Amino acid sequence: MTHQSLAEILDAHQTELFRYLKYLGADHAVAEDLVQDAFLRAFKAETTPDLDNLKVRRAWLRRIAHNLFMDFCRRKARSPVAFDSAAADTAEALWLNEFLPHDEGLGCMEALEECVHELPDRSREMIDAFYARRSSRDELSRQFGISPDGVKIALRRIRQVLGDCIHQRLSQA
Amino acid sequence: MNTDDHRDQLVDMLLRELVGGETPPDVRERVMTAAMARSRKSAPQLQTLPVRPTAVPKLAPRPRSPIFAIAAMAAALAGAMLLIHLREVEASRTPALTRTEEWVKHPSRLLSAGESVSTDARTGAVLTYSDGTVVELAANTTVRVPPASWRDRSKKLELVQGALTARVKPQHPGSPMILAAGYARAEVVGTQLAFRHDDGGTRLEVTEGEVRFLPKAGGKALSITTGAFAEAGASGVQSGTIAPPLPKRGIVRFTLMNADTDLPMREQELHDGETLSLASLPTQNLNVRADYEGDAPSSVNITVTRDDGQPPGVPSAASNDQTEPPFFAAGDHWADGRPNDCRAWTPQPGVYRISATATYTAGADARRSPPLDITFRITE
Repeated sequence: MTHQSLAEILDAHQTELFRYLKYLGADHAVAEDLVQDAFLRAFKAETTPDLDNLKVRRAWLRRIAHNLFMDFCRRKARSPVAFDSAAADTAEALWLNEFLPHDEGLGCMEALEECVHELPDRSREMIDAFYARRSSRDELSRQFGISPDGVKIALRRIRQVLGDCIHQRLSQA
Repeated sequence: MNTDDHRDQLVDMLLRELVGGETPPDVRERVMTAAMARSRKSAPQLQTLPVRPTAVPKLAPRPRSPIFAIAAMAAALAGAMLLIHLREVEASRTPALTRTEEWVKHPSRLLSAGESVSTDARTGAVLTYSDGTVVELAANTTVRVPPASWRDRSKKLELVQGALTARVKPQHPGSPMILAAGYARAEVVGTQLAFRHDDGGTRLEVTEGEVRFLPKAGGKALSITTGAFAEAGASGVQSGTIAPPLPKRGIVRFTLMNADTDLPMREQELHDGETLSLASLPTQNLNVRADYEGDAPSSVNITVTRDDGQPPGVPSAASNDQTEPPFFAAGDHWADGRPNDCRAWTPQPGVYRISATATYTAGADARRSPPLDITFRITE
């Protein structure tokens, strides 16, 4: 692979790979390191697939990142991320079907932005408090008058609504 | 995990990015630098390989959703909310010059992207962020605020030259404060550190907390914890433990002073539980000096009390908090032009207690030594 090719696939796929690794369970710092490693490994590879084929190229980079993350989990004996092949297959299928077809997730992001604005005020306030202001569950519990466990359930329900909304929007697009 | 769990995880990840501002990092420069370095090392092998330039097709623009046209009012409202959000994001990452001298070169009080501030040999400057994060610039230092993308919440400072120290309030792991310099950058989640850059290299010292150190030449990020340093330069990267600072031991003894001569009355220190007979002393004009070891304290607080609750008779002008050594229990005055002139104190018979505490300050931080207390009796 030439430096120019490396630069081009970096520009085209680094965000996608970072999101993919976060989706698999890597934290921000690990995902950043593994993205770097993945591109260096791709650059060092003596044989490369057909890089002109977008689908093949993406799958190849994703496989490298996937293997690096599995290696990382194995090295970290106490890693909170347990990797089993069935779950990995499910995750991969969801990624392929719901995320990848939409330009590195940009479609997902725009759909999510629209879906968030359609949420009821209370749900939107809870999303804003949890994700933007980073309020703790206890703070959310006090703010919204529900138990800490209730906060967890409420957030999950909101994400479920948003997931369905994104799915619907993308299937209409 | 089933499909619902994975979808929940996916939506959670997207929300952290969209609402929480956890923007994906840009590793392009690091990867390209590392790839260049690798190519230089293995140049002979690369020359023998058939290298085929590969063109990467541009991604087709995504078709716009008709929802934008239909929900124009909602989009306008969303735009206004987004504008407010962006202003909050920009405010959170924009430092303000909160303490400086007039000869510091700076364009304005608030430093926007692309602006810089420089100190000369005479002074430093202090930058403060809205969350309370403080960056102190040493003399002869230049920092610049690099441009940031509209969704990037990370505070970023580029150290062009010189040195700085920072006390960084806890940042979200996804949006760490980034301090960059010639050979490396540091990603700070919340800590106290020193960052320096000169021709020899870029050095990070962590006083408290944990910082990620990323050499620009590529390679793994180093996790630098309390008491450790990392340095990157033309000769490579090294890390280790910071040499321990000089001990700050505080007040270690009291010395009985002759206020007529301003000299110690004897070589021995004033012991706890000692009895002093005024008649046996060469003068009744006394004072007690609190002696320190190690660094000179920034200030020393000395209190004198009597066990019967009566006033100790210490001159009223004597300040409890003294900032210039030597530190005298009954005060130090300069009225006759002599340095270290201790005030005269003639204690009445009784039991006295003296307590002295040294305070050391560095920037806004202050640390107090344990107090040294003694009790002694005065008789006629």
